[in-house]
Amino acid sequence: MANMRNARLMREIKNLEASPPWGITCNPDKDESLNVLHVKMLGPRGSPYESGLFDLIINVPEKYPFEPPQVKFITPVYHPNIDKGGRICMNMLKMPPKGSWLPTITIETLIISVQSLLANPNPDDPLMMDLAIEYKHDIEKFLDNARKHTQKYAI
Amino acid sequence: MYGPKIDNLLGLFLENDIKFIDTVSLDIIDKEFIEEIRNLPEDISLSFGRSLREFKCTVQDYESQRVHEIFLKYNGLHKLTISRVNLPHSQLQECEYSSIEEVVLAFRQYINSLSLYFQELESIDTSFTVMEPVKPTFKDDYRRILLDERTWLHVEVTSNGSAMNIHLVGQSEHWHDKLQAGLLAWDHDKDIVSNITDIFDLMKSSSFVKQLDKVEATNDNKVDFPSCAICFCVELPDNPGVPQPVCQNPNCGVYFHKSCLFQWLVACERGRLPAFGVANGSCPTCLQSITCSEKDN
Repeated sequence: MANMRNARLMREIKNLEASPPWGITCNPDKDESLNVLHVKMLGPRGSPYESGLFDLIINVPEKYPFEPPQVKFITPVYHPNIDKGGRICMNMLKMPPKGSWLPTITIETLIISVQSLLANPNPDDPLMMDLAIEYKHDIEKFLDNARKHTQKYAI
Repeated sequence: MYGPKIDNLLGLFLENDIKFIDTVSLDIIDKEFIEEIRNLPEDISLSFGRSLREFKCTVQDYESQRVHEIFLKYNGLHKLTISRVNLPHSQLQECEYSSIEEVVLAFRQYINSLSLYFQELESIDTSFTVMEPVKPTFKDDYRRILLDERTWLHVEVTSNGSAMNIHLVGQSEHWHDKLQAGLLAWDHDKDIVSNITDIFDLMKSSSFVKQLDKVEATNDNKVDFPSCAICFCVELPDNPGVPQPVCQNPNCGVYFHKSCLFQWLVACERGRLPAFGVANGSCPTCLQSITCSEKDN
């Protein structure tokens, strides 16, 4: 069991190194248990997070891939679905039936989904109520705030 | 691993270092046993493994050129046990023997009684693409034959060479009716390969011809295995099976290790094990409903 988890993770990390997706690097923590991965992610082009570089940390559970990894932003992000502690509200990060995690989803798919969540917030399932309201009712102000926030923390 | 032939080895010991062989004989091998090895009939050949206590004995079929290997362990004077043999499991493996000749005698009889079993398996291995076992031997009394990319046929062969427990593995819908009709019309005077060929029209069917091309292309009797969509591997050290086309959705061509899929379906139920060992849920790739048993078959 632990064997298959690590074999799969090694394969995934190797693939990510060999052909990294746009604006994403992913490195395992120094210890060999492959429990923690460090991700650096560029904000999507055309979004208020553009040109920001965001640090994330992925905790891979013992039961991976039968349980989803936990993904957290280290860099503060101004976003309706990301709270002050960096926690991300995304269906793919939760177990069914509530969430939509599947063992066929890879770390790569997951990081790309987080990246695209930055560009496409989901204000109907918010973690930050006030930001969701701002996003829905005063999008210009939201974009301006997000840009400033990115300037301050992610560059 | 099984390197020097016994004659050379013993010759070395006996001629070069008499003292050595004396101590060795007390410690590892007794003189009587060495005498026995030296006087073995010519048609029994013997080679040693990592130590002088482990050795391999090869026995040839009387009727054909097949060579069968018996791995033995020396446990003391007149105490020989079988550690491994490339034959279907039998009582003979559990017994203790007093001499090599006794072993060979017992197994030769057993091997001769299995001649139809060998014939059928050999014929299956050369006529069809065998997906499982990965390296088929006479030890495995079953074969999983490729019918198309998503369906295999499971056949077990009994010791007298008849087929048993024939069923489909994977997406069975397309082949199901043919198999049911074919089983009723099974011709016991023909061998298993001709029966299977007749049931599924294999020689005429284009998909099968294509598979044959593929086999020739890879130059040995193996098609490249698709890997499991959950663990991304083909073979796992703690997982005996290979990935199978479990999902019945004809548009979903994904393969899973049964154990991987089962583990996932159980995880979806918060770890609660299903009744009767059969888990239900949805396919992790196409989300159509899927069932999976923990054990194979």
